[in-house]
Amino acid sequence: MAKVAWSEAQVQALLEAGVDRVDAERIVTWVEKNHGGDVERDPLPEDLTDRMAEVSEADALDAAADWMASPAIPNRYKRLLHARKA
Amino acid sequence: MDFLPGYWFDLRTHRYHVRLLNGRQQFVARAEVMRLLEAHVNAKQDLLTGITQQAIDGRLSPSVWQATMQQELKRLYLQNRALGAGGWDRLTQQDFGHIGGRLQSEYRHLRNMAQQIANGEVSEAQALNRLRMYLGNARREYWLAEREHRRPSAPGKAIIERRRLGIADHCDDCVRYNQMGWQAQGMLPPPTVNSECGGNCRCSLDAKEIDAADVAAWIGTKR
Repeated sequence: MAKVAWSEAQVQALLEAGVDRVDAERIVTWVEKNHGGDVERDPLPEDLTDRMAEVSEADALDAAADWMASPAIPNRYKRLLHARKA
Repeated sequence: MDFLPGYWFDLRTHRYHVRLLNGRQQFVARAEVMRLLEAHVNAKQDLLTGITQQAIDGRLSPSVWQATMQQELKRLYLQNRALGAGGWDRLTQQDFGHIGGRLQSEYRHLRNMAQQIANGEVSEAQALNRLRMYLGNARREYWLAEREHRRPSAPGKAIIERRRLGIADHCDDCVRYNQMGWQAQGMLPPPTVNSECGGNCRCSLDAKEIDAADVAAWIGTKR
């Protein structure tokens, strides 16, 4: 029960900071699943932190989606990074 | 060449182009690309400031703060690199490797900071100062990608670069780089690197292609 309350509080704090709900819930669930220690107090383990730095095609797709969704990018430039080569 | 409506990137001029709905084609001004870079980094700064504030106030656990920061920095590194390279299609496994190496270092710093937040050892001012440094490093990806992906279009051609001071207070280092005028590609550090202002740097780097035979005549000039 305490864990559910913690999760909800974390999601709420992220939402209030401006993170969208899908990201907020995904991040909190991911931390709970992968942390392996005191999730409320300790940083992520060092080996996990190192592995997360690796960059894949999936990360690029995620970044592309984030660019498209960003309110800082005017509509006319949403597709800029999908430019074809010429 | 025939393209679907939308953007394309000219490898020769290193410029984005767009076909408008009326069929006209035009290039995207470099100033517009710079505005996009700034607007996007500033928006991320607002987001990360809010997340960090929640962590300092004790409402967000250090682990969740760390995971969120890592995700947002990785996105920003990739987006800035794609913007500088000419789009997602231009990114290679080598680009991913470069970003991964730099992120590994940043993530270790973030982990230390998460521990310091847990211990109550970081003030708000210190946290925001570090945040600016992380964002400055992410901004640097644009300049690095632009340089690494821009090669002379033909034998006998060469790329030269010069530092352009941004709208900000300038540190002595940036002024010195600006005074060096045009230099061969790679001679000047990208904005945010090797300068006192670091992540706060708002300078840019102009680049142009010239005949290789003319390089000596351009070096050091400000024309």
